Amino acid sequence: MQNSKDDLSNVEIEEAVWRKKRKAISTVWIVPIVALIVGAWLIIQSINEKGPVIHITFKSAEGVQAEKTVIKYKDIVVGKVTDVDFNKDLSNVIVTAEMKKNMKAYLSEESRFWVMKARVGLNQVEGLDTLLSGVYIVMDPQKGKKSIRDFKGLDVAPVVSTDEKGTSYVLKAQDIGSIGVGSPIYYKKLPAGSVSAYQLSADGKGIDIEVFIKAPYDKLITDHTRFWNASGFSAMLSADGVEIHTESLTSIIAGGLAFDNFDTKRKSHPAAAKHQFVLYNSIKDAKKMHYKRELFFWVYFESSIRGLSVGAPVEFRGVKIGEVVNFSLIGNADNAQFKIPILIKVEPERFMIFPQDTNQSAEPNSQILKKLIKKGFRAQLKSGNLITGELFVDMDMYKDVPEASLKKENGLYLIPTVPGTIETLKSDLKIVLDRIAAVPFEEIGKELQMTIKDIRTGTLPKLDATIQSTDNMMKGANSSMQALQKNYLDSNAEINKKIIRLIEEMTRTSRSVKNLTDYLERHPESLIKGK
Amino acid sequence: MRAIERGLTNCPVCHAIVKVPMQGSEEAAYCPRCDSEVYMRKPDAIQKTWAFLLASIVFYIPANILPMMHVITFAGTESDTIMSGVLYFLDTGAYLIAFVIFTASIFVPILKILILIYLLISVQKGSCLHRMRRKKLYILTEIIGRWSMVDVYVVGTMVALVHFGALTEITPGMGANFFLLVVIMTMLSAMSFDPKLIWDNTKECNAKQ
Repeated sequence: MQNSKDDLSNVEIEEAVWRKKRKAISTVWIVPIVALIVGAWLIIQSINEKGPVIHITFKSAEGVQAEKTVIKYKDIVVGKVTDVDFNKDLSNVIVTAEMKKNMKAYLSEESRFWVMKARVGLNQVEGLDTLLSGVYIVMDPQKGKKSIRDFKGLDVAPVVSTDEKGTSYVLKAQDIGSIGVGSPIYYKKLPAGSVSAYQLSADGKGIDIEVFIKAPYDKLITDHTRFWNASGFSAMLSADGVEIHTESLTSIIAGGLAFDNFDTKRKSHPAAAKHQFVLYNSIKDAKKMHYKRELFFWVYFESSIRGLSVGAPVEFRGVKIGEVVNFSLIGNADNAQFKIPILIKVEPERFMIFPQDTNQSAEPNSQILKKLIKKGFRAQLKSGNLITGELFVDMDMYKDVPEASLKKENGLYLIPTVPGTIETLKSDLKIVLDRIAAVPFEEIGKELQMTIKDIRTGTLPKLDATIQSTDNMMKGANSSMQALQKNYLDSNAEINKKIIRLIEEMTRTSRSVKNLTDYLERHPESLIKGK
Repeated sequence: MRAIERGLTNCPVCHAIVKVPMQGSEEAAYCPRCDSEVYMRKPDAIQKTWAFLLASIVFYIPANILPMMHVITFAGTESDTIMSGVLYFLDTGAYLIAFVIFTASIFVPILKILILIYLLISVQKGSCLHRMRRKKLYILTEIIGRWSMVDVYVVGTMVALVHFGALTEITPGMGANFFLLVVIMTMLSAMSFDPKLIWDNTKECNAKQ
């Protein structure tokens, strides 16, 4: 035993001392060193990965949970909520979140946050995944000037995320109608954008609607582009039947806008972002020509203007050149004289006057006006519709009118007038009435009376005799009719009996003929052979 | 009388009694019967035990911080660490499961590490106290060691079973890897320890008494 052990171990002998504790370091120490390196690497990494901590203030953070709710951008987690708390006066909720390190550059004043919830709208369904996973906060990262850590969360998800390409414009509207945030905007019935916000305009008189037009479509927006409200539908009844126009089913329910370029002849420039447009109420409105240059004049009338309304046309020989803007009443108690000033608007772009007026100001060319008035240029109230009594302002050149000069009142030129058609109609009517009055109604009455007397005394007795003789004639006719009935129409009349007998005879004959044919059918040979 | 004083030891494989001279060399001695290495005490037992133990302590931290597994559903990913899993089961009222996971994954590794530290320090100080108890503790580490693998098994089983494509999928997290390392390191540490060292100072102890 001893020997074999020695054989194995004493190949090379070296001094060695048995010790309980060895000072030499075993290679096994590599293991904890590696462990430490790995641990240290993990710590460094976790410190490195530790992103900026941000605070987002929300009005309500319904469903947001600390350590559970995440912050997403394009459906990828970019942060995690670490704490949800109130602010000091309990009015808002402050969500503390730790963002990923690579989002640091995007934590600027331009970035937006909002809570994503399931939303089922008329045009879209979104955030359905939140029904299962719970809500999450959406970040719309945007590089800005300042790097900030305290954000104000949006109450509702914005319609347009900043990474979407397109341009925003402002529409001036009278009222909001059925338009809401997210209402679609159509171009040739294609959804081309949406309403991103709206607010009362600064002067409080209208609504400023902010719209976002998506990328390829925003090139179509020029300074001549017309926007109109395409909500609901328009129905037109004509001889061909009913025609219904609508942009889309959604726009019927949810409301919508549309835009188009109608005036392609005129030179147009692409509109800059935030360019202001007027929102027209309908496509019909939008298609109407709208003129930039407007000239205002006064027209004074003394007679009643009943039937004239704001917006009534101003025509020159049937060509519309403008419209009525406003009217009022000015009276003088001393001499009981009243006049009605009517403010009219003339759009010079509707017509051409030579020598051409290159002036583009809001002031009319007084030279031209003076010349025209001298030659008899007058305004007159005319009836446009005899049934409804609608009036319009007509301009024309009149001969034989009293001279008038160009006057200015309240900063606007006054166009002289001639009395309206109603007044001339009245005088015409008077002539007619006078003529009627001249008719000798009394004589005519007397003549008539005499004629009637003649009829009564002469003609009527003769008529009586005629009627008597007619009566006698009728009596004779009656007796003849009775004889006729007795001989021919009564059931016992001789002729009736004869007819019945004839019919019986004919029945019998036909029966025997039938027998013969029956027999012949069964025995056709009897034709040759005999019965 | 102790075998070490006579230069006797037993082969760790075939258990043959072998005589090893007290003044041993750095070269190893081999069993004449089965040719396995024989030694009086496990070589570098205390160093190795310490090394593995420290490694396990280091690994224990990420094992508890990093997620054990990720449950990926179509609604999102949920990651659970050991402790959050325990709390989850506690919240849902599954106290037994919570207890088992807590015991196997948190309590047992810590207990093992503490026991080994105690054994190492007491041996290095040449303590004469509670030798029988210390032996029992050492046996305990060997017995309970295997139970700490429960968590790793759970993760392994879940990952293998739950594979429903987009619906639900479970993948192991980095924490599981570190936990596995903790278990392996504590096992290696316990294996490296030589319980005979507890009685190496019998003479001095007897003298003290």
